[in-house]
Amino acid sequence: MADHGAFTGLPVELDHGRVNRWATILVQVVFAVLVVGLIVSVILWIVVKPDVGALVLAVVFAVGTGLMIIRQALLAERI
Amino acid sequence: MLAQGITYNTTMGLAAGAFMLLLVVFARAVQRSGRQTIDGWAWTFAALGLFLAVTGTHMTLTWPLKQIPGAPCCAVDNVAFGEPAMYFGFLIFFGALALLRAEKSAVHRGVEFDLVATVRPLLYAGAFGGVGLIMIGAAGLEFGMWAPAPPDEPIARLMGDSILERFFVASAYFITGIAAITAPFAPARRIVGRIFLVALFVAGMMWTFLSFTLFYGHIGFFPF
Repeated sequence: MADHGAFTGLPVELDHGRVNRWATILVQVVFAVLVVGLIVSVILWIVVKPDVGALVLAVVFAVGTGLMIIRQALLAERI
Repeated sequence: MLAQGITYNTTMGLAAGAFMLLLVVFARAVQRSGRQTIDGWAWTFAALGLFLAVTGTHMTLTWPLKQIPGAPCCAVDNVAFGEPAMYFGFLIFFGALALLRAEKSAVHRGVEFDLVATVRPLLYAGAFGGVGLIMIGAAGLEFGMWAPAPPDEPIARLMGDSILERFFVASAYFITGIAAITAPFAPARRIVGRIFLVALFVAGMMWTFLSFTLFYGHIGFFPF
């Protein structure tokens, strides 16, 4: 990569302390999203319609996936 | 001709989304100084690419697909889903093999591994495919491939006659196309690199979300 710029357009090396802090925060947010999302999904599944509950479940998993991808990209597989 | 439309595009979407999202992580991890070997990444991409290549080839060569009554899909899914999956699947698979070979060769010769030189020719080929994806998105909007939502398909039927699903799927094609077109030029300009990264992440999220909904929807599409 010596003769080229970064593929992502973002700095490769970030401050370790800051990255670790954000990595911890993102995991906590993912847990919160999963717990709240699952509860909302079950309620909607029973009260409104199973399709709506399943849609919320898909949204919850997608948001969780996205946040974890951001976390792992920030860490750049450092740990 | 199959008795039913092909429904395994659920995992095709999942594999495409997983590849794009993992590529975001890989693009950062591979550029970090003091990184470990990329063998694991390359084999992962090989597996995802092979899945897309095999299923995409099967879908492409199974023609014409049966039109499902009431659904706006199916007959042209071999073009809209099969061909891009086949094209990009082969590129991803051979790109992964190129990564494995290039890093092994660099270690053997004691020189620095050059990621850009290794994958850029494949990215040029991918850019052609990106233009194709944008044209598929435009065709979907014009000819109504993704609307109205099939009345028997769970989740999709929640959309009713809304244009939401049509624009969501078309946008997934457009944004994936932008990511593919900008990829070869990402290392040249910082702004292009950022556009590539954002497009890759957003498109990966869209395909992943879509496949999550389709696992439920496609099973519910054919009730016992």
